[in-house]
Amino acid sequence: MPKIDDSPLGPGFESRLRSALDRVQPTFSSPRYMTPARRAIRVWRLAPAILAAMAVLALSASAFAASSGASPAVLIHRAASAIDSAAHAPDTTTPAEPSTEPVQQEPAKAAPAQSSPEKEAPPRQEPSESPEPTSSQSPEESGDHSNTGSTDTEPANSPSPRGD
Amino acid sequence: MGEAFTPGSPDDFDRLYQTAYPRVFRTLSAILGDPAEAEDCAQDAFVQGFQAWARWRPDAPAEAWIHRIAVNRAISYRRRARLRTIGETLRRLGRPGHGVDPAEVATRPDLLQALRTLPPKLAAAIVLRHYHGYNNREIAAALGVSERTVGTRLRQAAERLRAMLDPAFSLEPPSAFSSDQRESYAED
Repeated sequence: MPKIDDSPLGPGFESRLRSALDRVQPTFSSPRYMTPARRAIRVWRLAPAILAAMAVLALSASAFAASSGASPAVLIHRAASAIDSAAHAPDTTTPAEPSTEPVQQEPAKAAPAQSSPEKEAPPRQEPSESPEPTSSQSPEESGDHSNTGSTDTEPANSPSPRGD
Repeated sequence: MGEAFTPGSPDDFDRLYQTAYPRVFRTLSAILGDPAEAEDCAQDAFVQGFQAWARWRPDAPAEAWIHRIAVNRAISYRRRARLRTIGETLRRLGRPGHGVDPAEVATRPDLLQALRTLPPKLAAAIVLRHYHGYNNREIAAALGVSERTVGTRLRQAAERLRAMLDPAFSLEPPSAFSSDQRESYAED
């Protein structure tokens, strides 16, 4: 420390200041500038434990999601299945109808039996059977019996209106 | 202050801490008036100095360099502490200037209390000059100002101390300082 160039103040002031400041004793605590490095070392020492804890948390979370389905993916899947089941609700209720249908079909089957046996046959079979017997009695075959036939059909033998 | 230090060397910074910490601590005790606050600021200053130790240039003394950091931290600390207290804030609004009532110091004329009433830059100049024995150039390096500003600060600090302390206490007239007295010092 170099000497003071000049001494503008009296020695009384300097001695008083020196005695006042010398009474203040510095506390030599551990240097704080060394603390960040030590903290970094401690963090690096704790790094494996922190990684292990994070791995355990990840595994527990995945196991919980797979088992109970609290994860959003499982909830979405459940919601989709519920929506599908609601959309196909009429198809799923048809098995309950056969219990009512036989009750309605029994009178339907009993009624044709009481009315006429012709209605039991399908309607397409009736025209196929009925024209066959009538086809032999058609007017086309009546031409062959024209000589022995009726007289009112042909006006050839009738007298002419001239009166000759 | 003439010790050789290598910038960035942790061993040299440890050596600087061993030699400069008590002096920095006493400077901050004179500025702040409380040993606990002085220790806190001194430790913070050495933390900041350690982070910037690789950028230190030997053109300025290492102790003056760390003193500069410490005084700046003490200035910030006093400013924050002053703003934290509502009463002191109101007192500051009503009477800008000092955080401690000079009348209270006059009733109990203690030198450290009187130094605490000074602005930190003035108190630092007084302590560096009259306790650590720095010359104007070293004070200028420690405070980051010109030598003329150092002379102005020393003069104004002497005037305020003379008004607060015992009038019989000898303080030489301001003309004894070598710097230009017409220069106004930069005070926040």
